[in-house]
Amino acid sequence: MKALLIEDDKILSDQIKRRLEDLEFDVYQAFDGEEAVGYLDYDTYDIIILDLMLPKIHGYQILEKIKTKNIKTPVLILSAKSDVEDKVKGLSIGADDYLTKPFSFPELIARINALLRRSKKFEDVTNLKYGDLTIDLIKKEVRRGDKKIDLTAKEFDLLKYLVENAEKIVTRNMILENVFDINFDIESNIVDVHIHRLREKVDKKFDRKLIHTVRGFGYVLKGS
Amino acid sequence: MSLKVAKFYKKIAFRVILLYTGIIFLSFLILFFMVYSFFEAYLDNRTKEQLLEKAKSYKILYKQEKLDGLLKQIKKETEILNMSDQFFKVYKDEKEIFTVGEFISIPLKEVIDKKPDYYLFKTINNYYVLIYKLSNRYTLVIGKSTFSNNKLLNRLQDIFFISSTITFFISVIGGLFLTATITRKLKKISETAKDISSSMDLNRRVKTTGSGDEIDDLATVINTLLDRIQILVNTIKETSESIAHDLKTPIARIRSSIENAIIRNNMPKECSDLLGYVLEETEIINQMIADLLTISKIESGAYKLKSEKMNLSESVLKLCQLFKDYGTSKKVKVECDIEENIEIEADPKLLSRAIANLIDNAIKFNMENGKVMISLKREEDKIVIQIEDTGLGIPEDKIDKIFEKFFMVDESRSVYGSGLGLSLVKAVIEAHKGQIKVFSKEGEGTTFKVILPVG
Repeated sequence: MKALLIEDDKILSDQIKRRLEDLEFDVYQAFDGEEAVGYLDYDTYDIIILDLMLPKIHGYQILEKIKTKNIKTPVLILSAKSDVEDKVKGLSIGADDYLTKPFSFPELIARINALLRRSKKFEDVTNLKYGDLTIDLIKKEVRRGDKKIDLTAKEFDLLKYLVENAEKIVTRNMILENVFDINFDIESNIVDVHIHRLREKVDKKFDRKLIHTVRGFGYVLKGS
Repeated sequence: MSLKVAKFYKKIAFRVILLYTGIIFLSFLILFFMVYSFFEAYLDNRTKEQLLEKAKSYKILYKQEKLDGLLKQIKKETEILNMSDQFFKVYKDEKEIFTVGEFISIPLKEVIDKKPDYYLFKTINNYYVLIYKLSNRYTLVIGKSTFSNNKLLNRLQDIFFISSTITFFISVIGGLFLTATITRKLKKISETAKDISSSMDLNRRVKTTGSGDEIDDLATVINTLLDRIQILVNTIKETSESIAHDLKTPIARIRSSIENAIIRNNMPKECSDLLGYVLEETEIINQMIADLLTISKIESGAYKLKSEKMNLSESVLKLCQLFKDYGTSKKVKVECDIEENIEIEADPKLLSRAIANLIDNAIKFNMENGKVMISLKREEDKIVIQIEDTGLGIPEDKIDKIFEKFFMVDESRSVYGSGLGLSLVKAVIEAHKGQIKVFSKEGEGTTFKVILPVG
């Protein structure tokens, strides 16, 4: 997988590169607009990560160039601006997603994965499995081993989201957006409360705990 | 900010006309009284002179032709001239010996012992009466009705009445015309200013006519003010954008570095927990910067509020359900009473966030086994959202401060929060042209009432 990373901040760019390389991406770094255009002429990529405030050529112009060149590569915008206007403008010019700085890696990875997945077809999934945990999406039933676990609708959605992203860190914002359909900042530890209740049912009576807190990030579902 | 339409009696036009007509009317009235009293005095004098002249000519006649001749002359005169508005009497001592015309008793006591040629004027029963001593024994009394004089004065009154009515209307119309030209110009200015302040379109200006009058001056002053406001707002916009960029980039660096350190390196748990803590605090700083920027942008008008049709009932219901479980875990019961299908033109993210902040507070500052009541209702042309809790309440002396940035009711309360939540709520509600009211009693609970206009 090849990723073009257009970001003028050297330190941030290097950190993103390192993280993406862990996930087996070949990362090409461009530090200004001109360099980015050079990279775009030179090769094709699986994903383009684009910062808007760039020296020499502005991110919007690069975005326009990508679209006029008919490059189908998905573009994820990174920007320090959180104005709705900028978001709307970026998406209308042809970006595929938008992430506001500072972002967290799990969120960045989740979005990149979502963009890469978008082109591929989804299989119909009726069952989710992780270790001894099974989720029947049709009957809405959850089991650990042969023990049935009763969950409320929201708890079910939350567990499903965790299993879908098993072994990946999910942040509180990701949970709020994807499980609770809350797409605005909320000053509350609502997610923690829901995770706590879910743990009571899923983990408490079992030796192997599945839901783990990752301090500073959020949560992860994993075996150990 | 709300600019109310002035009540009609407070309008300049009304006041000016009132003053203007008042002054004209008053001067008219003074003029009338002066003319009237002048005429009254003049007529009075003239009549008296006439009467005296007549009496003097009768006196001469009396001297020449004695009493008989005088009486004959009076009879003849009254017959020829048919003077119905006059009467003549002659007394010998106090006894009436001759009368032509009206029978009126005349008190003679005052003149009975006066010398000849003494005379006295009196007004008796609408008559000017001249009592004239012809000789020591004979007294002549001539009476002339005040009727003709009064007729003249009444006519004068009529003329004044009619002309004052006409003047009144003319002055009202004139006043309207006069003030209309002034207030029309003022209205134009204030309407444009209102438009600008409600739309925050700071590129617009009030029209100047170039006439150089005071109103034109006012327009120029307002425009200068708008220039300065525009510069200020632009500065806020630019500064907040550069703050956003300049602060967020280092935060992004810190964050990505720590995240990489935690994810990539197998460090001891103690170490990664500490880094995790740093990460959490970084996120809090980030959120505070974002909130501060949002608040100052909204307050200055630099924030472009979205205006989308949103189903407020659904949004509030969603929040209710979201917070119900959260409440349960804190042993707080969350009750919702939401009227269906209430729609509003608003910025959905901001408004939802504001309501969420209020609900979150109501749960956070509640007591064990407390309650939170959330209601959404439509009242005439207003939408009312009420969030009531049975919580700790806010001390009376602090209630005015709760919307200030970074204010916390109790600094020692170990509750998570930046102190920006309510400032954000207020800024958002006011940006939607709404109002927020708070009622609270310490130890009993707090009620926040958000009133939004439908449009």
